[in-house]
Amino acid sequence: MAVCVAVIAKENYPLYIRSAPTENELKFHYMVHTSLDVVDEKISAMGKALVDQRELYLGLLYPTEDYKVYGYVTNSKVKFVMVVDSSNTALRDNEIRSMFRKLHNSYTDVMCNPFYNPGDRIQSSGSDAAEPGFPVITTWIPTCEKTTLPSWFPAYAQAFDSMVTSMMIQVC
Amino acid sequence: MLLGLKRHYKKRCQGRMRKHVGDLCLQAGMLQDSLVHYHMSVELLRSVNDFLWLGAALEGLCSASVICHYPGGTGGKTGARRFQGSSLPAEAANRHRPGAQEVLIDPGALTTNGINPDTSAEIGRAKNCLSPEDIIDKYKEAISYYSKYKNAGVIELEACVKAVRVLAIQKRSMDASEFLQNAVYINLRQLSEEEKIQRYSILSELYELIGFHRKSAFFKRVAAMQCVAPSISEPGWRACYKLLLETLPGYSLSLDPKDFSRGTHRGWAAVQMRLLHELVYASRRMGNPALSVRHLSFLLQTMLDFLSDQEKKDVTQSLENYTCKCPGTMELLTLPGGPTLPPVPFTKLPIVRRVKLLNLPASLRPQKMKSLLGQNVSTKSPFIYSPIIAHNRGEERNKKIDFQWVQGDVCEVQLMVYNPMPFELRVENMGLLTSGVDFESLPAALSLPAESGLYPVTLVGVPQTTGMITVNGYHTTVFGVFSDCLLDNLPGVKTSGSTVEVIPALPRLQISTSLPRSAHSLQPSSGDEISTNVSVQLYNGEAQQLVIQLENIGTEPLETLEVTSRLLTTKEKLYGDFLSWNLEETLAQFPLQPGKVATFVVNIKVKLDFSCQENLLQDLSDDGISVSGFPLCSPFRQVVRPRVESKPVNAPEGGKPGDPSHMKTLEAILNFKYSGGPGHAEGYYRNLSLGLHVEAEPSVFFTRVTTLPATSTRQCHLLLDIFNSTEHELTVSARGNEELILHAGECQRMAIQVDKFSFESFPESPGEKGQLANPKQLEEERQEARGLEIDSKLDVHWRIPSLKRTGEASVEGLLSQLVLEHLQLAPLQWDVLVDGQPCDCEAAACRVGDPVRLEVRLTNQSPRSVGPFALTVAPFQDHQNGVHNYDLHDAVSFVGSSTFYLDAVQPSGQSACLGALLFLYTGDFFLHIHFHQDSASKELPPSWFCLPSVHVRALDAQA
Repeated sequence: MAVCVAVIAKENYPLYIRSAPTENELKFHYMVHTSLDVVDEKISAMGKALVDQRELYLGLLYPTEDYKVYGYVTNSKVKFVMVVDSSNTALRDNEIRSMFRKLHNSYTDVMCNPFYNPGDRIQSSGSDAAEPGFPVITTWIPTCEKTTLPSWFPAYAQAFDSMVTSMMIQVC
Repeated sequence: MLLGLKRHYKKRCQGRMRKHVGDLCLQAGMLQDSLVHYHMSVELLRSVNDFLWLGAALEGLCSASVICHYPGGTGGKTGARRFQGSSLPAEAANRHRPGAQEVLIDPGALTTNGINPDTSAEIGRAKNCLSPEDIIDKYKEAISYYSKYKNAGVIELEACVKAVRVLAIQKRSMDASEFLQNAVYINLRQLSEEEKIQRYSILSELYELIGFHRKSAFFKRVAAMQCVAPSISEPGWRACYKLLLETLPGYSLSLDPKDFSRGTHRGWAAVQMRLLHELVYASRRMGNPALSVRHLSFLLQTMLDFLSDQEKKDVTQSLENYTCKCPGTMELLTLPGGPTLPPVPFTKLPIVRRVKLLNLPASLRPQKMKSLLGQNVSTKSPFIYSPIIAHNRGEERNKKIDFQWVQGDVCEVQLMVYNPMPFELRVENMGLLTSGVDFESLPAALSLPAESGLYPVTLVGVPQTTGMITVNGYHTTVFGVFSDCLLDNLPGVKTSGSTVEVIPALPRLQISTSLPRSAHSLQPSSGDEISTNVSVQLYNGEAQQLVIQLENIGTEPLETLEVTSRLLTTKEKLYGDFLSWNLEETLAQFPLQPGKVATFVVNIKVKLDFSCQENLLQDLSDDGISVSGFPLCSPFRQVVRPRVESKPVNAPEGGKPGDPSHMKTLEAILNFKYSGGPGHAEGYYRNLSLGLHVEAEPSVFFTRVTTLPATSTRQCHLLLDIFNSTEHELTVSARGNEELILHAGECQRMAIQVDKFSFESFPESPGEKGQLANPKQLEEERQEARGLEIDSKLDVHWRIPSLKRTGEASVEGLLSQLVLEHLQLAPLQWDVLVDGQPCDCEAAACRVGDPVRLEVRLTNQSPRSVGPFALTVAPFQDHQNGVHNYDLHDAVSFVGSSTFYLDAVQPSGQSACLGALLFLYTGDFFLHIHFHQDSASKELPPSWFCLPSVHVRALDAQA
């Protein structure tokens, strides 16, 4: 099971980050943040490989005592980082790989949504599901009008969100 | 068995000895020898499983090889300095563990250039030196041996650190990170707090070395936290703060708010917020409240979007607590380390969406005199007008606005703001930041409701000098933090220019009038903005004085004043001057010093045509009296006969007097152009508009105007049907006539004897005017002029005794062409002279039996020649009962012919023909002189041939 799933933009800021034990969220923020060093290093190392031969799955970024951090990078340099409980030995590399592929597919769906601004946070604006402190700000909707957002607006993010939830629950 | 043990022991001793010798050689700079010794030592110790010493020997081998390969040293210059700087704790550690002394080769010593590559190094590299790959393998091996011993943690850590340094040189970051990862988990017991800090610092530094900035920042932060761990009796807040500052780049956080002004914030908000909170706390504990205020404002400004409502409340609460003691400023704060903290203006508290410089109110707006020609034509183009405007793209924010502010006047700038906070936001001391002109800003305090929508705020100030003023931004005090917000740094602010010209001071005029203010506001047309509206109700024909008090409420003397009036488009036909004034008396009081008052009088006169109201006309014009051109020889009579059916107008279809539908409104604008002071010298003036709303009620009007010829051809009777449409009794009087009393809604006929008018004497310039204006207009004009003259001659007045109001009644609108013709003195002027005396209305006396000379004289004033005419004189007697006796052959005889012939008369010519009559009896005779049908020109109007009827009284010869 994944305890934390994060989508990181090309410019290395989070597009989406969610962790299963919500009480110690900051810890996972730190963990994902520092794992980016390794991701960067790995990307620069394989930079010379041909594009079509490139492996998107980066593998284990680094292990800690309690968790394992896995990485995945798309061709457009969007990174997926997954933190997995290291006590869960049942998880094989292949399973991690397929989870990343699912995540990638869902992310592609989000990008296909015409109402999504590439580079904005992916969030379902349903008040309970939304990350606290991530207000809806888009370039074309002023903040003062955020209450007038149509109800269908966050649909893309909800699908993504539920997919992540399923990944977190799946193996538990 | 013992032998084996002995051999084993011997080998161990040899191995350890070799290792020791190797160390000494290395220390002595004999690189080649040390390599040899280390190799042998490794061989010996490997065979006896002396792992700790084997590890040490491998490490020695690595060290020697590293010196071979990288004679410049593994640590950077900064690293070397750091180690020397913190050598004290390292030495302390050595003291604790004497056994590890030989292993702990001070890396600082390695980095110094004391060990120079000599020739032996070259040989060593060729022979015993390990390859770079092998160095790492051997380090790994050594570390794995160390890890077998719990007490060797420090050594293991050292080995890791050294391996990382080597890997850093080899640019193998991933491998290095594995070593470091391992180093993190090395369990060191009994570490002092200082050592813990040092350990994390070094970890951070190593991560930095291999380019893992985020990891580096993470451990630096851990080190910083370690400085103030609760177990430490004297927490090092200063050191903590310093270390925290060093982590900023790792979290891609700069403390300059300008970096955050572009769009939405993108970063690790949760992590960055945590760091900022820690900075705030550390700086506060450091005893530097200014720093904590700065950091807290930064947190609030840049992370506002990420704070939850509760967090927003908490942050602002603590910010307010801090600023009680140390208000936030806009100064640069210098940190102990040398870098500076830029100020944090609260551009999001409140958020400004639009900045608009407001023009002065219409009455205070300066305007440029037209006389200064060519002022507006820019010097950029040689053409007076060119459709191509010299565009300056990209200067939109700084472009000049095409209105002016006036020195010494309150000028306004409107901001549209909103409050993003979930609670009421109190903004104090909000004012404008300007440049170019001395500007006295008048700060405002405002309170914005929680999460308000766009909220207009007007900031005001007074320019003290002249020139171009640029509004650069605004300043606020929010939560005790002063902010200077420059518009250039604000994203998403709409502004339509921020530069405006300030012109020299002008006086200010205030108007108060004798009339009540009006609730009516005139339709804003053609950009006129009216400052004051007054209204008055008048009866038609009434005149009223409007006294205007002009007060100079400015600081400059009022030097010039021009008054113009403009009647707002009305369909009503207006007769005479609606507004008239005499400016000289007012101007005599000029220049008007500040605070002084001048008066100005305007006469309002309403003359409208109310007669066109059809329902009234239908009612009243039913007794048709056709105007005949026949001279009635009735004596002068005044027809004041009450109408048979003088019914009050009570028609239900809205004919009621005083009904609004009967009222007509007139609206006019009085413009006061005034100027003075330095602004006048610059050619500016101000325009104050006074709206005048006049409700005109019908008073009396003439439902019908007819004429009756009088006995004299020079005069005629004008019959006026006068209708009183007011609700009051009124009296009407014409010149020389007695008053006529009219009850409400009553109609009466009034007859006035008037001299005929010779309209031709009017100043008419048919030549010029005829060409310019179309004939219809000309005719109208002419008719108006005639009407005016008739009015002035008639001078019909009405008076309402109950209201004590008087006015004039005018016939202008009613004058038909026919009536005018009758009123006009014919251009052919016929005079009949009896005995050489002109005979008109008076009876001429003559004696019976004496021949009476009769002369008919024609003066032609028309522009064409007329005639010839043949006239026949027919005497008759009027029996005063409607019977005219023409059968007078026995009583009157002609001397000569009874027919007169007149030759054609040239324009302005005169002609006369003579005859004589002989009256045989006494009596009153009338002579009817008429034209022969054939000779009278048909094309001339019949009124031109209107001869007076001659009244001759033949008297007894004796008498």
